[in-house]
Amino acid sequence: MGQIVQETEPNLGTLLTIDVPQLVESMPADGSPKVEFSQRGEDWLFNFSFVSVSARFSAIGVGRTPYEAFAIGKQILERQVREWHRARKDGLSNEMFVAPSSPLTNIRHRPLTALIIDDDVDTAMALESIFRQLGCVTEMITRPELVHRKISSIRADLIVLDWRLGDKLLGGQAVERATRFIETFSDLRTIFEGYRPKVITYSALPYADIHFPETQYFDHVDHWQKPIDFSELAKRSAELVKAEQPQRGC
Amino acid sequence: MPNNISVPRELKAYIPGFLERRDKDLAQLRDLIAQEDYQLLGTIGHKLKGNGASYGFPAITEIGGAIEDAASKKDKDRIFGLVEDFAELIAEIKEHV
Repeated sequence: MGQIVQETEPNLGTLLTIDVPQLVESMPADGSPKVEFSQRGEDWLFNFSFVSVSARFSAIGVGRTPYEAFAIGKQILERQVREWHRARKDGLSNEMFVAPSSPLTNIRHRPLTALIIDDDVDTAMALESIFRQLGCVTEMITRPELVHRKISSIRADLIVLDWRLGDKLLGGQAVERATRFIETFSDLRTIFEGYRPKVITYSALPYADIHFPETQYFDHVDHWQKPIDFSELAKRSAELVKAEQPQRGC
Repeated sequence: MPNNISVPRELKAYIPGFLERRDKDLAQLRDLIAQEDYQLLGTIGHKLKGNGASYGFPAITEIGGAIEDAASKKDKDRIFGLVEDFAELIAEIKEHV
């Protein structure tokens, strides 16, 4: 990344009206971008996601100014777009390309990413709400058929995984599929080098009935047995987040 | 039946959608009783057992668990009674929230 000249760097309005649209032009024409700039303390957060029929891109950039946050996110997104072009050229993917999230660099406080996986949308939303209010970046999956793609392509720090995903898929099977998916794409294997998201299984079944598969990519750290009321869920989630990021919340 | 209703402040905005989905569950439960589809009855009971308490409705959890249990035993009469209890519970919740 080149030098950021603060005297002439674009302001937030310019970023939204000129720089972000220019970035989106490099992406598939049928896609929908979602852009958010927010400020947390002294840091600015640029949160970008893009969905089209053939690709998904997402990135978070954090910086001391909106432009610095955007510049970091843009760098990540440009790499994802290059990888998408390469995958299409090599014929590696006949399905939708889902770009892996990348580790944030050059920041002081990286928010944790919490991924909630539950086919029951009400349960998923309650958990998502808790982790979001704890300051985490959150992602939520309620469709069982997308689980293995998402958990292999989003660099989540914490994954809350419902064990019974619809009538045809167990959480363990989703982890097995994700493991195979990661091993198929070298760029995903690179992301997972030296990194293992912590998985909390969540089910009405007792822990003794949960058979988490052998995998080098995910770390099964706890099991929460349903039903759990909201205050207890919030308490356990807060303890989990605190253990992952002791300096401050998320 | 105890009907403690204590909706977490953080989830209040989600309650209308939650109740709308419970209305759909209720309609589906009634259809499934007529079809004697005990597997799907059990699935819905299991779901209610899991999500009721997290929204501040332990009574939904209780009924869901009972439906799941009755479905495993194919006890149609018991399921029918529980579903009617569920209907009353949802109506009561709507009055309070």
